[in-house]
Amino acid sequence: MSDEDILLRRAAGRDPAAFASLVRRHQSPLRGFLLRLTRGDHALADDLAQEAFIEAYRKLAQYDGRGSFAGWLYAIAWSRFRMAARKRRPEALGDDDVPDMRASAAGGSEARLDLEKAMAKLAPMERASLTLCFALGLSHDEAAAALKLPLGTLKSHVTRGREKLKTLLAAWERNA
Amino acid sequence: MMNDNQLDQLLNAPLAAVADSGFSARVVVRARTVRRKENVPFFAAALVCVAAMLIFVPLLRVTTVIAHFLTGMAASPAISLAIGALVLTFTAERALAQR
Repeated sequence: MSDEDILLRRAAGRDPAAFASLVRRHQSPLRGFLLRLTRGDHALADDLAQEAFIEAYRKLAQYDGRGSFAGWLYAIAWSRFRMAARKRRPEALGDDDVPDMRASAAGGSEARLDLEKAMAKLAPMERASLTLCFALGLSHDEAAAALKLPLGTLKSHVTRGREKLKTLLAAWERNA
Repeated sequence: MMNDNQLDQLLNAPLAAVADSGFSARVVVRARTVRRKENVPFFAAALVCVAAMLIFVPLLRVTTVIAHFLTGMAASPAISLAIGALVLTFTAERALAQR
């Protein structure tokens, strides 16, 4: 039994210290994921991350341990993001209103900043698919489960997202 | 122009680390509040059960038995002496402590 399994079991038994350890362990990737989904909106990303952790705390007993805990957490965060998107319509922002993505690319190169800017122009589902499969290292199966998509659909989103990124980055490179 | 390998390398780079800055502590505090709220229906149900049970308890008979028992205790010289000794010991101890 891994260290994380022990923490999960204790947290499911309502041990606050174990839950605190899980939050500390997963807060950075989860907030990074949401920061990318919200296109650099720190306040919204943090609100959603907090709601996702609280929902996870409530439903910990339902986590069956079949997939990774991180994948399960991203699934909750994704569903929270979609609910918020329906209410707030963050995607209604125009292309010129892409928020400052420097925070998402913190400590990174120009290429990294360009990637974040290009990411911000993708559809949320493409952004989520690419982030889960690449930056967060989930398998296609895990990412499909987290986004509640059939495997083939997820792969289409990944392929389409990559192509769009390539086109956007190439266009910017030509203009530079 | 960026090739596939370069793009994959960029995409595979881990997300920038987000500093905790009290985030975890805030989540844990909120989780505690949630837990307390979750317990409210349980305590309310327990209270309702106790109240419902009290309806069926013959309170008058119970109080009569308790009163009878207490009167019996008060009338007992041994218990009166023991309580007197306890009171005196307590008073003496406090007086000594204040000196």
